[in-house]
Amino acid sequence: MLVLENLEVRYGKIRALRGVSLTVPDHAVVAVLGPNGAGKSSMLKAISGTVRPFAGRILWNGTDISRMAPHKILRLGIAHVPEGRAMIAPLTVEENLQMGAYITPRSEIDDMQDRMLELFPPLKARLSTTAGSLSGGEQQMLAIARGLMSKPKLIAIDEPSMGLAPAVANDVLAALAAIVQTGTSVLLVEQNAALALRLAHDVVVIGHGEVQAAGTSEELGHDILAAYVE
Amino acid sequence: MLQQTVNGIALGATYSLLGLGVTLIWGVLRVLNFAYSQFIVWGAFGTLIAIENHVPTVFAVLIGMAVAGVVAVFVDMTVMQFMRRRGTSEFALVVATIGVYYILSSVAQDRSKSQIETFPIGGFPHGSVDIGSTSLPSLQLLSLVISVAVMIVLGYWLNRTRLGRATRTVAYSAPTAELLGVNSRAIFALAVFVSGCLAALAGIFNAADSSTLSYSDGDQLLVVAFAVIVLGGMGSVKGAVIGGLALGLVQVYTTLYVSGVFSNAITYLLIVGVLIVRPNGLFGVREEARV
Amino acid sequence: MFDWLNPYTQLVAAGILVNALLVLSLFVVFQCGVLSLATIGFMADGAYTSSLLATKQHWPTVPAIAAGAVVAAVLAYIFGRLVLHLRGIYLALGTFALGQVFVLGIANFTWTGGPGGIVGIPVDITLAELVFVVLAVGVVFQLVHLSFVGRALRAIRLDERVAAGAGINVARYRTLAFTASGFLAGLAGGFEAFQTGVISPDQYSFVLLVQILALAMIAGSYLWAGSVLTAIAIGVAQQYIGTTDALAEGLLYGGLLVVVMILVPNGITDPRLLRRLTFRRLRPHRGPSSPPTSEASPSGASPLVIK
Ligand SMILES: Nc1ncnc2c1ncn2[C@@H]1O[C@H](COP(=O)(O)OP(=O)(O)OP(=O)(O)O)[C@@H](O)[C@H]1O
Ligand SMILES: [Mg+2]
Repeated sequence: MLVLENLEVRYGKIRALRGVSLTVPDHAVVAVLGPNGAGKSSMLKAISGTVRPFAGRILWNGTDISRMAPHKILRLGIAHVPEGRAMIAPLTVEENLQMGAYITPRSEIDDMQDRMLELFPPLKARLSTTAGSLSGGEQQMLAIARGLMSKPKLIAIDEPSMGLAPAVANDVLAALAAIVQTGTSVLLVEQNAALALRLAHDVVVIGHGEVQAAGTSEELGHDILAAYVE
Repeated sequence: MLQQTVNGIALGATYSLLGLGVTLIWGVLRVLNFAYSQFIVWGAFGTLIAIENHVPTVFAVLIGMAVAGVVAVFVDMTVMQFMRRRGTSEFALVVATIGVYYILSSVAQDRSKSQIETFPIGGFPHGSVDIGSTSLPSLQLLSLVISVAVMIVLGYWLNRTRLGRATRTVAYSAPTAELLGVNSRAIFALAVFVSGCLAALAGIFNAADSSTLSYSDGDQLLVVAFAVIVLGGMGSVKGAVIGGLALGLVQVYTTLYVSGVFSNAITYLLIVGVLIVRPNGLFGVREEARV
Repeated sequence: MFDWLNPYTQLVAAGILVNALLVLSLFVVFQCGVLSLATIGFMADGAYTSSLLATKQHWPTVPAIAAGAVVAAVLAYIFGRLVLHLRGIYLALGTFALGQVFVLGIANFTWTGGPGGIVGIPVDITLAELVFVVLAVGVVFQLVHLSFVGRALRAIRLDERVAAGAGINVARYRTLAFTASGFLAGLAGGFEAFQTGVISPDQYSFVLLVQILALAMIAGSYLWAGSVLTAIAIGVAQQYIGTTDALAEGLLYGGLLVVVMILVPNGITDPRLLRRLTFRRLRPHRGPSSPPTSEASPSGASPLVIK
């Protein structure tokens, strides 16, 4: 279980998060929605240790991880698929997957890779291409697959649908649904509310660095979609 | 002529080692490190002191390598680490390494009382090996064998091992590597340590070749190292070896056909010339514009 | 004018002013974002040109020094056009090698006196003349600073692409700055030669470059007066501390370089730093905000190419 308590993130004087509290239970999908600049990515970066929170705590199964280095947090079971996919462009697709499995026991790597290729079939044919030359959708699949290679208990994904054609976004969503089936929790940041609502049980809306609404997708779904349609 | 070519290759072997060390730190940390010059010197002094204390030569060489490696890591963990965390410009990083160079160099100068020391070469291979009509000093042969071996090991390590892949990932983007579970600081330290070891090895071969050692030996060798990576393309492991051999040949031929006094000037001229004509090195791969 | 100073003090003061000129020579290029390590080479060019003219052609001192500075400027112009298209580290490396080519070239020709150098240069530059030259250079700097040229140079340092987009001919200004840098270094070399009467190639050493670089980095590249004052302040301080042996000098300058790069990488005349220092007391103190840990942008293509 991941618990954020009054999390605050600052970049110099800019206050990207101003006291955010939320909970991601085990085996859950929580969607985080909000406009550009709301602080969604900053929240994920704080969780994965990429930025150090200014104040507040991040508890993972009771341990405070708010000041840990990212590589240690990953070992505790939280993977972060960052915005912009963060491909290691000069490495091949297979090498990227292998890097994803950097902390995975050797005996399980091949098996995991097979499962990822099953989940994201388009990657199969491209194993020996460099990641930099993949299409946007393929890169997004690779980014998620790479995040999963470490067998996380929780995966935080930043805007997987960004820049993808609706059909491709749907494929990615289907893959995410399959991930959830395996018991991995998902913290999903999205701008595409309709997409997120199809997957998530719980929804948190943030704006200006604060939680503006939280509830189940049934409770909030209608209002949110209405707001987006406007 | 053939003999001169052999001499050039022999000279180039040490140069390749130098280039490999610099290329490694450049590739992984993106730092052009002037303090490298003093890693060379400190490593060689480490070996010298060990030999003077009757340590067998092989171990003395290892001690020298360890000294340089530790000094390099120390500098990186203090000054460089601090600057990286603050996101300082590469401009400032280069200048800071120049400051570190000056400190280390003046300490070495003070300790050695500005003297040129005799470097005992009893434990190193001597004599020479005849190949057809040419002969190659055993010492140079050894340095050639070692630099080729280092190139192969580095290449294998970077391309075929898990740690090597992690190193390349850190080189590409440390934050991404961290997200994948790589301790980027440890990787930095490892790369810096290995690079320090290579600096020491080159310094030791250089000292054994001339059987002297002075605190300022590193200065000329640093320029050589820069020339090698400029020739071979910065960050290229294979380029460092080829660049080293090419520079060795050029220096020997210059001495032969022009004049011995110009063999140093030619090194600088090569740096300027190659940078002007082919900024990515003669064998380098084009580096994408960085934003 | 400075007769009331004893000869030793005059010599020290002259040395400090020569350093100030060298620091200004770095300042000019730093001002538009070029890390040039060629200054000492141009200093040697200026010193050798003026000394050879004076000793072999019997030129009077002032025209000889002026000719030295002009030759250095011309060389800077010619080679500047060749190396200035390089960027970042490559530029630093290119200018470093360029400077060394000059010094080594001088050391290896016989008509320059070879490694032995030149002796018997007339020692007839007074401290007053040197003070006058530094002040004159300062006035020029101030005029340039206030002019559109100064604005263009600063714009280039802030963001080359934006500057280019605003119609500033970046290449031309960089070449101009590099030429001015060569001129000032040549001037410094000439004055130094006619102060001491003897020059040799090994005095244009890497160590000298490091010392000048330290001064320039401490001063930063915002105010030319900062460069002059820093050169004077450190020069005077050095006299009082009495750091004359190599170890102390190395620790002083090397340490200063490292500390300055860590604490104030833009130098002590960084406007942001000055603002922070002056406003700090007016505002209630807040805890330090947390900077992002390692949020660097990915560094582009992998530099490691292994095939
Ligand atoms: N590295 C940074 N330095 C300074 N400010 C930053 C940095 N990263 C983000 N910010 C600022 O923090 C605020 C929140 O940014 P964040 O990236 O978290 O928003 P977001 O909700 O992910 O937006 P988007 O939907 O556009 O991705 C913004 O105002 C942004 O300008
Ligand atoms: Mg975002």
